[in-house]
Amino acid sequence: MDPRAQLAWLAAIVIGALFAGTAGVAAALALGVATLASTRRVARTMRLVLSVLPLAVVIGVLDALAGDAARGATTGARVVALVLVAAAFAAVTDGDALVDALRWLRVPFDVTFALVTGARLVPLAAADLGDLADTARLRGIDVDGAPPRRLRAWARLLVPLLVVTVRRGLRLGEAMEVRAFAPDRPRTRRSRLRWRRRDLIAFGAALLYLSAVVAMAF
Amino acid sequence: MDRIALEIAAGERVLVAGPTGSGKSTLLRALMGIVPHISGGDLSGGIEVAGLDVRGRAPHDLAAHGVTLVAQDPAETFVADRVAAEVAFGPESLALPEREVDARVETSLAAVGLAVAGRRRVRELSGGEQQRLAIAAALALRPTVLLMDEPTAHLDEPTARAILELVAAVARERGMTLVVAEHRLGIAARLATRAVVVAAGRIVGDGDPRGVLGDPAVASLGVPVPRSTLAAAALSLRAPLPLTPEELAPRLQVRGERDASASPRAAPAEEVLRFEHATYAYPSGERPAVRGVSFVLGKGERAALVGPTGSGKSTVARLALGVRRPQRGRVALAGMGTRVTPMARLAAAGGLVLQDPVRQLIAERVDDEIASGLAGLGRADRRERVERELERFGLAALRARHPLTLSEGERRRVVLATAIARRPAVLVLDEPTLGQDGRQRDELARLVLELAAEGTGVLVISHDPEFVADSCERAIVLREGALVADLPIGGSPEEIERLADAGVPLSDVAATARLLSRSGARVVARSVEDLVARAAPAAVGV
Repeated sequence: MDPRAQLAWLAAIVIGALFAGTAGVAAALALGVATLASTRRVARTMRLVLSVLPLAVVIGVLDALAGDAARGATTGARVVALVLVAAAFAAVTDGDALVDALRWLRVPFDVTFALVTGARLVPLAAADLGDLADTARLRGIDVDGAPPRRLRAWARLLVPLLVVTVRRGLRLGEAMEVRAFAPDRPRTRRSRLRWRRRDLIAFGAALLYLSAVVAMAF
Repeated sequence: MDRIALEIAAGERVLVAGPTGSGKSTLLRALMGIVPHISGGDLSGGIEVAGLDVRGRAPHDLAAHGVTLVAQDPAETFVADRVAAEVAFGPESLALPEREVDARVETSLAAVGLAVAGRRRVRELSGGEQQRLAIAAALALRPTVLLMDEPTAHLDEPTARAILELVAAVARERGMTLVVAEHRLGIAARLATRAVVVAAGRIVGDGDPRGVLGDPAVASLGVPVPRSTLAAAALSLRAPLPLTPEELAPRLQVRGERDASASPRAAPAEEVLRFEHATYAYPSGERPAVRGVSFVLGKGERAALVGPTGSGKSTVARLALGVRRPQRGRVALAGMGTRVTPMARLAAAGGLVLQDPVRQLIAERVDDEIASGLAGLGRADRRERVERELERFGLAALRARHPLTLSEGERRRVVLATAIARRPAVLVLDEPTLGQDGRQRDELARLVLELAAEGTGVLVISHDPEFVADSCERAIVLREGALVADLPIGGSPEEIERLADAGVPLSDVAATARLLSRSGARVVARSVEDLVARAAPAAVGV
């Protein structure tokens, strides 16, 4: 699907989940699960849901204590839904397409590029953190232990992680510069994006859904 | 850099060699304007590249005028998710018309043999393909001067050869000037028209590559001169000196009788590591990274884990130390099953050294870093071991420094010191010679032998056949996560043939001995000295 249509759906679904009550949350859950299942990431989806479940339960219970139980349940489900939708979006789009879509929205190139590059650094930083954690394990530091000790152990790894990540950023900056990149110079504005019929339909459907949400919520 | 005077003519292919920290990278970065525009520092004198004064031009400006640089690790330089978008980045930065951008993407990908890969994801490419992509991205700028900083450091031998041959061919065809810093001199020197040797920031050698590398003074600086060239120099072969086993072997004749068979390997007395049908899959992986691997490592034994990228070497290493635990089968480190023993106890028995030291430094002082792995010991004991390692690695003067403020070479020493301070039962070295020069490589090989003599079992992962030959006695060969061969690294023709059949990259000495043995003689050689003792210059010069 065209990244512009994907972006429109992301916005519509997130706004729906936040403001359109139970129906919006249910729609977000359904779309998130359906999209992830279509990418055959079922096992990963299950793990993701399980990993955010404790957080969702805590937030839900807090909300239930403040208001009523039904509202707590909706809030908990909302947390899971938002994580699923974000994961589904990440699974079906790639950074290049996202840069194109944001540029179509007239967002300046350096802003979109910084955004996408930042997102791209996340898995690399996760791998770096994995190596640092292995190092800590081999020094007998309890990175897998009980929560308070575990937290202290991971906190020790933050400065080294920051150093590694900054170094990555500097190297990337140099690599861009040696390929003639300068933030203040004009660039070729390529329109790799082409609307096809089904993209336009999807885009239109997202706008319709968004209008329905707005009508319901406000 | 210290009073560098260098003039390179258009179309030359210049190899820059020198020990680690000699200023090779600085020289390349100065030609690209990164020094001083991005790095800072003082630059006196003048640098002119492609007719442009570097002092007045930022790197992006030089890049727009035909000068560009390919870095050591392409994965750190990618800006896009798809291959075609990556190549387009440079031409788009030049604000070229769309049609021209597309044309350049197409011709650049074709030039590196990735013509059909445009829609593929960058991170799904192999290491060699990633380096090809980085070269295509540079070529899309239509450079007249291409600078490369150790472009094959992360690649295995055959891939490195292919990449360097590709670059030389493209440069020849386009009349491009090439300046390449490399440690893989056997391959690079054959393709270069000129070699420049840098040491302590100054140029100490300059001329025909074979002549420069044959100079004994160059090897003594720590430049990793090919063993084939060293053997040729020791045998007083006449110029032009050979650079590879293929060039050396035809110019030798074997002296004396046929060598006896190798003596059988003695079974190690005690085991420090045992794999029994160990299988492991990463949470994100579809298929297991390691499948049913079984082997035993004895006390003081030195084994190399060999195999292509993605064959499971690093995973085997992590399973060995208990930081990953097998889902099926069993791994025992120093007699402790890794699935049931707490990590704190396993930690005392294993040491790990990764290729990038920055990812392994977590303390705020050098001495605390070394002490951080000695938790189980008494205070006096701990202090004594820290002192011993500070001494052994020449770090005593740096003890109070923050490890991350040290030079790359010093950081590596801290990581090594920390890994061996507790005298682990098993030490894993993962690509320890990356970016290391000949002298450092030799020192590390000696350290491995020393630790093994003290009883540590060593597992080495390395793309460097010379280091493997120097430091290991056994090759454990992996392919797609399975163990496919487990062979002694010996010097007899039979052993060498078996290693070659299993896909183990041969050292220069082994490859030369193999070629000599094929011509009817039986040559057993493990070192340059063995080879020199058994061979003489062929009667008819080639």
